[in-house]
Parts: sequence; structure tokens; C-alpha cells
Amino acid sequence: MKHTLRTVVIPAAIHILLLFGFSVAQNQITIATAADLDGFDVHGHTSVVQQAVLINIFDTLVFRDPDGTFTPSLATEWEPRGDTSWYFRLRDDVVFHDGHPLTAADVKLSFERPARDSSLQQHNFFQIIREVEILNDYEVLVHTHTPDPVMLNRVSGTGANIVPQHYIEQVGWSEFSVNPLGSGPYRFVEWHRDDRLILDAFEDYWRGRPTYDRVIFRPIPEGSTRVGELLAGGVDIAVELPPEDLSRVESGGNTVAVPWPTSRIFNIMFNVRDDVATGDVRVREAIDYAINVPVLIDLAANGFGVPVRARVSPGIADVPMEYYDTHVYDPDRAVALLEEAGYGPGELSLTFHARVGQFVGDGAVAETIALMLGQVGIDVDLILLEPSAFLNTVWRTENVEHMILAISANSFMDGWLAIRGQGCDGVDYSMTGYCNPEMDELIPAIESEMDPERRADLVRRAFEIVWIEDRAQLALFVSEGFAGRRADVEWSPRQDEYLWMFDARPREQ
Amino acid sequence: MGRYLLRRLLQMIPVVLGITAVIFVLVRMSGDPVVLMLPDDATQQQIDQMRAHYGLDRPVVVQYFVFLEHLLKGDFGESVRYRGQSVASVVFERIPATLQLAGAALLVGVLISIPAGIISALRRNEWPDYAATGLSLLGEAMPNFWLGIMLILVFSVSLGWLPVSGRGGPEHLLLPALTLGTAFAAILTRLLRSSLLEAMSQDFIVTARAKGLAESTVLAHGLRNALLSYVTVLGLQVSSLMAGAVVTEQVFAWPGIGRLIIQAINSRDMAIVQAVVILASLVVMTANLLVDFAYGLLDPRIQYT
Repeated sequence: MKHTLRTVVIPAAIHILLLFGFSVAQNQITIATAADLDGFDVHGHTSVVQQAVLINIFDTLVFRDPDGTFTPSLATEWEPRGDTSWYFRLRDDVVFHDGHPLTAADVKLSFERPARDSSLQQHNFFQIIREVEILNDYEVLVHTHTPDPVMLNRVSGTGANIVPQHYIEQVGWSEFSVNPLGSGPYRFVEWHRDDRLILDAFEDYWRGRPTYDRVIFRPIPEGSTRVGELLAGGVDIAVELPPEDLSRVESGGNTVAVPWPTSRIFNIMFNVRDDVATGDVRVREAIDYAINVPVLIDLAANGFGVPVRARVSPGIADVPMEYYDTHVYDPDRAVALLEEAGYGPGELSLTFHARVGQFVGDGAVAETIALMLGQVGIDVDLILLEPSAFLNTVWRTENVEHMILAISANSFMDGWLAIRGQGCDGVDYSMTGYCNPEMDELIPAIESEMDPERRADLVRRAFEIVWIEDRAQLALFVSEGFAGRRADVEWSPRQDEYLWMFDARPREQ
Repeated sequence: MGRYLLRRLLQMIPVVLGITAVIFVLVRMSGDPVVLMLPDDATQQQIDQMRAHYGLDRPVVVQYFVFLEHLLKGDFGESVRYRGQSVASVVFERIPATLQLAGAALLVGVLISIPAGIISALRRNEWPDYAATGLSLLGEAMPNFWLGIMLILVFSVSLGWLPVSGRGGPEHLLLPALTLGTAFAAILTRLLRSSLLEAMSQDFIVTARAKGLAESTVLAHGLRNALLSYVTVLGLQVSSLMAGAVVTEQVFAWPGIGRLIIQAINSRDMAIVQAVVILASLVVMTANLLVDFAYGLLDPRIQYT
């Protein structure tokens, strides 16, 4: 009897328990991210990295398809009414995770709070909203101070998540920021800062119950560790992987590398004031022709990038895509332009500020640019700064002598975001001194033009002025990345970088 | 002893106040957290409004006294990153993980260094000594960042024996503790070796042997004397353990104080930085106090009044 117990019953019990554990684990998906959340206050951040996770807990009125098309979400219909109002009809079958129905009152709170509280980071994007008028439980009219042609971008993006009024009135924002309640496909279970966020499937989700019972987000800051977890099976999806680890993931056996599109563009901004060398458009043009962007991408970004001549990328509305996947390179012309501007070989010295350590390859890109400029006779004093030092000492200050390397994304998914600071009193003026009166007319026109076609023409004209005619900035390439997934998981990255787990499912073998 | 303890505890207060004042000024001189938290194209008006919200528009001296006033009530201020969340809870939440990792690394360091140091001293200029000294040099020279990644590659990815990262059961602790404890063990091994060699060459050891004491007893006498400097360095290493834990926590995604302080410094999250610095100061001073008491246990000639 003892022998049977030891050799048969106990091992069988262990195997059964392991199988049970395996079957539980099989209905769970774990995602390794590069950074953790700061909390669940949807208005307290402007980070796409945060929204990428929060979208699983909180819905928005409008949602984007993977190709960027606006589709109904909590709102089934919408239309502009007059110049300064937008109408939204809400679904009447949505409940929060505690069963409370989602109504117009929740939308009112969700938009009016960031619109009125200037201490919130999202105030910048919502202050255009004057009031949310409740027509009835499932219809609202969003009134704006000025015409808002990008309302759909606003209500589908970062900070636009709908939060529960009844719950927040009960517990307050502080408690909500650590113990959230939403209406999304997954409900909050527990959060251990810098360790893991655990979400369970919401049975009554209006789109239908999600496939996975449980989703776990694990913030793992070190890229090679994320790769290790993916290869070892500790996670099912790992994002923002180091380019140099592509071959490891591709040859991992059970792992697949997937392209990770971004809107992140490496962009040189010039000080264009008359009293500095880069104030001469011929010098800026020479720099444009001196940089071999495809080689730059290969050398400094491990081949992960697409050349551009303006801040354009797929999925961004109204941007002139003829400037995507194109570049100019002519070092002889660069030398000729410099001579025309009065600079022989070695006679021009430029200061070049860049940050290092914030994005993959940022330092390497700056160093490679400096080398390329050196080949056409420009002596570059490259100053690499840690990101916070860069932002505090260089960005939007008057400390930019000639040029800086900016790395900018477009989470708003609209061309307006790229040019909104380029007016004569724009936020970039202190750095660049850039002032073109035509831009001062175009920017407010773009911000108020409600006709999509006319607006697209205005945005195109603004891009041409900044990047092509004036060459006030020099767009280099849009950065690409890659993520990894286990072979038994079906999931694809999105252009807006949301980690939308509702669409993830086990792959049919 | 009681008066000595009370005096040492009271001495901690002005030290902590001095440290907080220095850190308070340094963090504010290092940059503006509002610029870091807002989008790159935020307007000056938005920046000014946010600064006013966090009280950063007031003179530094005023800010410091407001901070002290709140500190007396146990309020470390408002975190720019963890908005609306208690700074104390954010910091204290990390303590168990940090203690777990530091304690395990300390244990690794002691468990390796004591036998290695003893063997190395007793078998001086023989192969065990060469092996221990060589491995110590290797352990000190090896960057723990590299060591951690190598351990992950071998034991987690290739062999699949241990988890890659994160906090969980004892199996999660092994690789991070080895990574952090290796350099620690290396330093202590060499220290114990030289201290023990010196102690074993003293006259009282000759006397002990002449009296016919067993060699193990002689070693015990020598070891007790050698441990004085060992314990001193052990206490000093507590602070470097916390510093080294920053890198280890990054590699192994360990949710400790090291990771928190790096994120806080990068984002100029002053409230978090100040809270962690106060905590770290108290830990280091407490460690030094415990080291002083350990002297009294090791050397009966030492009296505290």
C-alpha cells in the first residue's frame, strides 16, 4: 500500500495538478513592457506607453482600426453640429465592471475634468472643450471654445478614456488612481508597482467576452531581459525589443519577430536666426544633402527605419505621404552649397545637441550624422546629454546654437500636431527663432477648418513650408521597431502602439 | 549602553536633516520636473500652471520649510509621477523586495566569503589560496550588469532551470542574489584572508598553540580577532549593496527601491527622491550602529557608555 502510494498515487496527483496548472496558464497571456504605469488616473499622463495598457481597462467613445480608421466604440454615431459642437450617441448596453450602466454623465465627467483642471497633464489636449451637454442618458453634445476639426482624434486618443462618475464620487480620484474601475474588456485585479498588473476578463463586455481569462503586464526595463523572458517562455509577448536581438527572436524556435510600427521621427531642428551659420538656408540645404539617410538607418538604427523628408508616417491624418520613403543625398552638392555660403572645407563649425539613452539608437544616430557632416567639411561639436538634462538645459531654451536632434512621435495621429509649434510665437521659437508669417496664418486656419479636404490642403502646405521650402527642420527617418510573440499566440502590433489584448488569441496549430 | 544608544539615535536627527537639505537643493538645481512631465510642445502657460500646482514657483527656502512642515506630519509631498498616491506608500511598498534582495545578497556574500577567506588564509600560497584569490579578483572586476545577463542566458534561457526575472518564490531570488552578492563576496573574502593572516601571526596565537590548544580552537581565537575589520566592512557594504542593487533590479526587473530611485531621479520626482534618501540615510546609520554594537560582542574590552 505504501509502495503504491509512493510510486503511483503521489506522482499521478502531481501530474494532474501540473496539468491543471498548465490548462489555467494556457488561458492567460503575459506581456513584457518596457515601463510600468504611473497609476490609473487617465488624465494624469500624456504617454502612449501608459494608454497602450489602460485601453484594456477603459473604453473610449471612438476607436481606431489597426489601419487608423475611426470606428464606433462607446459612441455609435457622431457628427459635428455647427462650428463648435460635436454630437455623440452612446451605446445603451455598456456597463462598468461593477455592473453600473455607462451613461452620458460619465462622458461629461471624463471630458470636463481635464478641460477645466490645469494641473492635469491632459489639460493641454482637452482645454478646447467648453462644456459637455447631456441631452439624455445616451446622447451628448460636446461644445468647444473654437471649431475643433480633430475631435475624433481627441476622443479616441490618450486621456479620452471614459471613467465612472458614480465610483469616483464614492472613492475619490486618489483611490481611483490605484484601484480603478472601467468598462473595458479587462477588469482590474491587482497592481504591484514595477512588478505586474493583473487583469481578468470582463464577462459582460459589450463587444463580447475576451478570449483570455487573464492578462498580465510585466514591466521589464532591460531589453535583453525582455528577450530572455520571451525565449524562455516567461512571457507571451514582448515589446520594444533591441534591434540587435532580432536574430535571436527569429531563431528562437517558438518565437516570432513582428514589425512594430511607430510614428517616431528623428528630426533635426535648426536655429535659423540670421546671426548664426544655420540661419543661412544654403547651409541647412547642404546638411540635408550631406546625410545619407539609408546608410544612417543601417549603421545607427540596425536597419530599422524608413527615410522621410517631413514628419510623416503611415496612419497620421492629412500628412503629405509623398515625403515618406524618400530622401536626398548628394555630398558634392552639399560642398558646393557650403562654398556658395562662404564656407570652404573645415571652415564651418556647428554645435549639435542630442539626447542619448531615451530611444534606441538616439546617440548612435547623432554620432553618425556628425561623421557624415565631417565628410563634407563641416566640423561638428557633438554634445550628447542624458534625456532629462537635455530637456532641462537645451529643449525650448535659447541654448541651441545651431542644431539639435529631436525625436518626436505623433500620438494624436494628425498632421497638425507636427506643425502646431511652428508659428512666430510658437513653443519652438525660443530654440529655433523660426518665423514665417505664412505659418502664422496657416496654423489657426488648420485648427479651425472643418472641411476635411480643405484642411488636408492646408496641412500639406504647412509641411512643405517647414520641411521643404524653408528647411527649418530636417526630417531623417521614421523609426521602426520590433516586438516578439510566442508562436502559439496570434497578435499584431498596432500603428497607435496600443496593446489591445481583446484581439489577441491562441493561434490555431 | 542605554545612554549610548539614545545618544546615537539623537545624533541621527541632525544628520538626516542635513542630508535632506542638501538633497532638496541638489534635486531642484538639477532640473525642472514639469518640463519633463509635460509634452514637448506644452506652452509656457501650461508649464507655469503646473509649477504653481506643485509649489515650484516659490523660493527654494520657502519650499524647504513647507517640506519640513509636512514631513513632521509624515507627508513627503506630492509625487509628480504617482499623482494622488501617497509617497510613503509608494516607497514603503518597495521595502520588502529590497530587503529580500539585499538580505539574500548579504547571505550569499557571507556564506561564500567566510569559508573561502578561512581556507585561503590557512592554505596560503597553495592552490586553494590561488583559486580563492583569483575568483575574488574576477568577482570584483566583473560588472554585475554583465554577470546578471550571463546568468540569465545560461540558467534561464538555455537550461530553463530558473525564472528570468521578476519577483516570486525563492527560485526568483537566486540569480539576482548571486549577481549582487558576488562582488560583495569577493571583497569580503580578500579582507578576511588578510585579517586572518595578520591575526594568526600575533603572539597570542603562539601562546595558544604553546598551551596545547586544539588547532580549531586556535583558529576560533584568531577568527574572532579577524572579524572586527570584517564586520566593519560588512556594515559599510550595506550602502554599496543598495547602490549595486540599482543595476541588479534593472536587469532582473526586481521591484525594489533601486529601480524606484533611478526613475525618480530621471523624472526629477523630488518627493520620491527625498523620501528614498531619508530612508537610505536611516538604513546606513542603523547599519553603522549595529556594526558598533557588534564590536562590543566580538571584543569584550569595548564598553559603551
